[in-house]
Amino acid sequence: MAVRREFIAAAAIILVIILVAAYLATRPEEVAPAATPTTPAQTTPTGATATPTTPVGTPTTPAVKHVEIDTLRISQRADLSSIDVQVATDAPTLSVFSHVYETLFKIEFDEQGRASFKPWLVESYKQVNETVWEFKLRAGVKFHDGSPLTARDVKASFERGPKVGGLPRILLGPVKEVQVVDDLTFRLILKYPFAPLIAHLSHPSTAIIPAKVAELFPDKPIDDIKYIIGTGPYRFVEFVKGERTVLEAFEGYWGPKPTVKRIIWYPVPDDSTRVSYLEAGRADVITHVPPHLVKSLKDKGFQIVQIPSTRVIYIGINVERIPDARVRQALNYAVDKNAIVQVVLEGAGSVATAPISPAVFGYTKLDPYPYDPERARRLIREAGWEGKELVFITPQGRYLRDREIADAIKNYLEAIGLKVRIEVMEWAAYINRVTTQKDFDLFLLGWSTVTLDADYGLYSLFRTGAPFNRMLYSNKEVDAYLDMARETANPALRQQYYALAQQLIWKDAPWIFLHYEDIIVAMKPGLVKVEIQPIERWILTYAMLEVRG
Amino acid sequence: MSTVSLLVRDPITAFALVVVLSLFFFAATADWVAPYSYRDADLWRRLQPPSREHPLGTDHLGRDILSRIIYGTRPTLLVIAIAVVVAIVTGTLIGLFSGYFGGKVDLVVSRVIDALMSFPAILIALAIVAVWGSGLEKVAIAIGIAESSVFARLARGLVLVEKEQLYVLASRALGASSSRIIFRHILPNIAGPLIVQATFTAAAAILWEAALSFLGLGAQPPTPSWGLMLYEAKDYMRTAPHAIVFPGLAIFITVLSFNILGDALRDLLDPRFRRLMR
Amino acid sequence: MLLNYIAYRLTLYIPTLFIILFVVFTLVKLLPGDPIRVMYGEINPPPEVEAALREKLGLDKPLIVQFLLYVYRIFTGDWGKSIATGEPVLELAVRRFTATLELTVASLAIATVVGITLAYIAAMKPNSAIDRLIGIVSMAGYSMPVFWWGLILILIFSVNLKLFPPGGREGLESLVLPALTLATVNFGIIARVSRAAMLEVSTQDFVAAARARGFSERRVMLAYVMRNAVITIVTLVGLRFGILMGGAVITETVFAYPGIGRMIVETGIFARDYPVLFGGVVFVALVVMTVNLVVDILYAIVDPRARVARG
Repeated sequence: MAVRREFIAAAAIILVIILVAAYLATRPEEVAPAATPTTPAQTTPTGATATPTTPVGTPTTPAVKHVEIDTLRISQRADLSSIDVQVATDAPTLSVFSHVYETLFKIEFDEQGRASFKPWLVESYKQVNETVWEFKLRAGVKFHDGSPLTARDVKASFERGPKVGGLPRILLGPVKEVQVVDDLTFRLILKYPFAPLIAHLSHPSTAIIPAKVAELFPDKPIDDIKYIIGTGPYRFVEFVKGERTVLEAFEGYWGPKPTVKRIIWYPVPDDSTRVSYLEAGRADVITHVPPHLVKSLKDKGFQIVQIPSTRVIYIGINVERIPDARVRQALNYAVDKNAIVQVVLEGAGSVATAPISPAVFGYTKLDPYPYDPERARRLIREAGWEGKELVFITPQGRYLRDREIADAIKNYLEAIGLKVRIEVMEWAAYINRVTTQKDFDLFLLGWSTVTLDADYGLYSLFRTGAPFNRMLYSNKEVDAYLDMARETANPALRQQYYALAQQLIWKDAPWIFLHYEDIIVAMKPGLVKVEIQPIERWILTYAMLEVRG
Repeated sequence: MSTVSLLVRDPITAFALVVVLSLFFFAATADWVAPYSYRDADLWRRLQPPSREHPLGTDHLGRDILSRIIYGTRPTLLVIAIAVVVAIVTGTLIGLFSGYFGGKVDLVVSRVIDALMSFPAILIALAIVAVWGSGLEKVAIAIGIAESSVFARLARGLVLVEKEQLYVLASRALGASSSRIIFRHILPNIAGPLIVQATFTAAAAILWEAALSFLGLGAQPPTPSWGLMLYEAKDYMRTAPHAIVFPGLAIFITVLSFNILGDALRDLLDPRFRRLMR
Repeated sequence: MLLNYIAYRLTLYIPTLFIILFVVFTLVKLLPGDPIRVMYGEINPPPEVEAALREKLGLDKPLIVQFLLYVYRIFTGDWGKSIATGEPVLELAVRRFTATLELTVASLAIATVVGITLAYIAAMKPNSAIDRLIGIVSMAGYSMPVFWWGLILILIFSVNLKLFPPGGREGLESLVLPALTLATVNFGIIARVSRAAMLEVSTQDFVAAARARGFSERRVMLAYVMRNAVITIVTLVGLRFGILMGGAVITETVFAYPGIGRMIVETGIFARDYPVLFGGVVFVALVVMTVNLVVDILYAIVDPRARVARG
């Protein structure tokens, strides 16, 4: 019958389509072997510039030229969170602003990834006495609107910053007063001796904005992009929220001329989509590459730069609810941090050897708690905590595999005889709860020591009463060391104090010390001189394209 | 002719019935039927493709996907149960009273329902979950609230017709109280279409839960909710697509079955259709 | 009277909008956390900064005052500025909505073409096996989790076949996959309703008359049945607009498409950017209600029986 034939035909077609679709859908992405070996992927130590090195002994290759770039497109995972550099706190926004604004000092990294602070907008400086520093600005620096940089702008920036933004308030907290001596000279009067001052003056939150903008918006964020005026190598040209941010090279820049004319930033929150951007040629650089896609990108010929960042991921322990140090230590013994790094993060991290990352001044290498569930169980029993329930709160999508890390840790803790209840929250609600309430035992959080000075990492988190000491941890001895390290100018002495403080903190275990996150950036082949810094900042100003002659 | 035998006549509907029944079956027998526990994590065994030991592969924490899908029938049933009950009870009550009593109350209530229905319901459900916190039960209640307006409208429309019927007018004349009329007389008569709608709402509830989980606001780990499995697997879509395809298929087949059933029930209720079937 | 009906519908517009605003406002105000804290991330905003920003945003006034202020401002055209970026919300909403509109129109076009074609085939042979098959396929369309289907499409067409981009909004090709995803969910309903409409209409008198005049079955269907069925479909589309918008939210998230649904969810709710949230919600509500209104009026024009003010 005609009806039956049609029916069978239609059903057959549908079946075939479903089978083909199923096949295509369940086939994991295949990777074709790279046809020609291109610039080798680098796993360079901290703060390195991704420059391809020609291996010794290669046959003579045709001459290699570096050309300037007209438009460079980079895709990050977040959009600008604010158009006011003194208000923004997140790395993606500050990366963009690092091209537009400048700070008094600039961070530079050597081959070992150690940071040093070079005078930048400042030409020279001297410490007059314990609490007074004098600075001389470089002459001839112009803002994007043509006006010259003067000490007045510094004063206005430093007075406005703490009023509108949390980061400037913390970073410039020790500054009591800014005195303008003359057009290019100013003094900082501090409330107390503060050794990390120079480090703080290299953070984008202390970037210099024009005095007239500061005067227009003395206590609230700027509300139009036309007020984004800095001294940096790029002007802020366009901002379409959710779509792109466009920067263009500033003709009147005082420093070395940029080699990239235009930079376009695309926010693409979805990891997979962002990777496709690179593959499709829509972006030349992408950040936050998911670790499980690294191999396939490498095989396709893209460059991968993977370096440890200054961000440490930890599980904060509410010390008031868990006052017994044995229990906290048990938590540390119970978790196989190496497994988490290797398996959950797929190698995109390294087990923490201190509460701060190795790139930070003041870091001391300590031995991580080994994975010893037997010992953990014993400690729990001794402390009488067997069978107790812990409330563990975690955000999701904020840190690499955060929710999964929490899942994995829950399994480890339950294996040593504890009960764990996980509460996953979206970020806004989470940060609110972590800040204002203390009705939980464990919380997952990250901290990036963006000043590269231990004071910012240790003082803010571990000193009694410090603003970010959410563990409610208090150790008078640690307090003493941190206070002294802050005031002494002698670096060797500071290093010692920090070493002592970290040893104590390690033993007290107010955290489950987990790992440092890696930064993974992928770029198209041939792109060189892109600077990737462990503080999650990418500098594209001097990027160039390598062309074989 | 009994409803069940009519249902089973048609092979497609029979299949749908089997699927829905097996939901209950697996939920009850999961502990014996599933080859592994749904929470046995082994990080070193993660994201393995389908194999002999793991017919549907493993997820990102090394847990067996087949077992999780089997155990996942429990949260699925829970969501359906809570959502449908909440939706039916609130929606029908509102619709019944609004429709029966009419007047100003009805005017206002209709306006409110229209307003809420003309609005992307997902935003309301999202807001409810974001305020209240995630968790399977809360999500199910939020879904129930979001779907209740459908029942309100349906019940109201049905009541409007019923209250002009002879038996209602007779009861009123005899002096029966309003609530007696509503609950003892009208309600049983409109139960049919309500049940049909309940089937569709069950289908919708599963999709809702999946959608909310996708935005990260659904069930909590280690609950083997299918929607949560999709959310956890989406990051690995490219290298381990099996982790996202199979839970999605489970949802698809279940939702489709509920929709087929609902359709069949609706046809059965329609007297013209029943006559045709003789 | 037609005019009476139109006037009646218009007067209901405002209270409805009010109700929506009130519900959204209440829910949002119950959300823990606020935009300031979100912006600061792990760092607590210093108390003076927080207080100053709160005051500026009017967050310190009593709730009822805040609500009335919002309503007043929206009616007078001041939709505020995004807390994070300072961009005027109205401009932002219009721009993002245009993107969503493109997506919605594209997906509707596909869904309608596919749906009506399927309905036609099905209606030609009612209750046949083909009819049932089409019925199942239609149901399958709206039985799938939207985002799962979107991800599968990405897997097949973007990752494996590399035909289309998996997201963003740059050119026509980035519209294909999201539009297909949305269309899959909608074609089924269009097909089923069209089929029912076609069948119902085909039993009516004027069709029988046409048949009696000797026109072929096909001709009859196309000319008379389709035309009348289209009206039903238009109504359906109009009434489902709200649901369409809802579906767009998820699709936009999967494909990183800069539409208004995603704006409301990501910027408005997740980042607690209140002006954006309210502006977005009001905008969508206005559009949906307007569409409903227009559809209702069209219906009333076409069919005099519908011009009764509902009680």
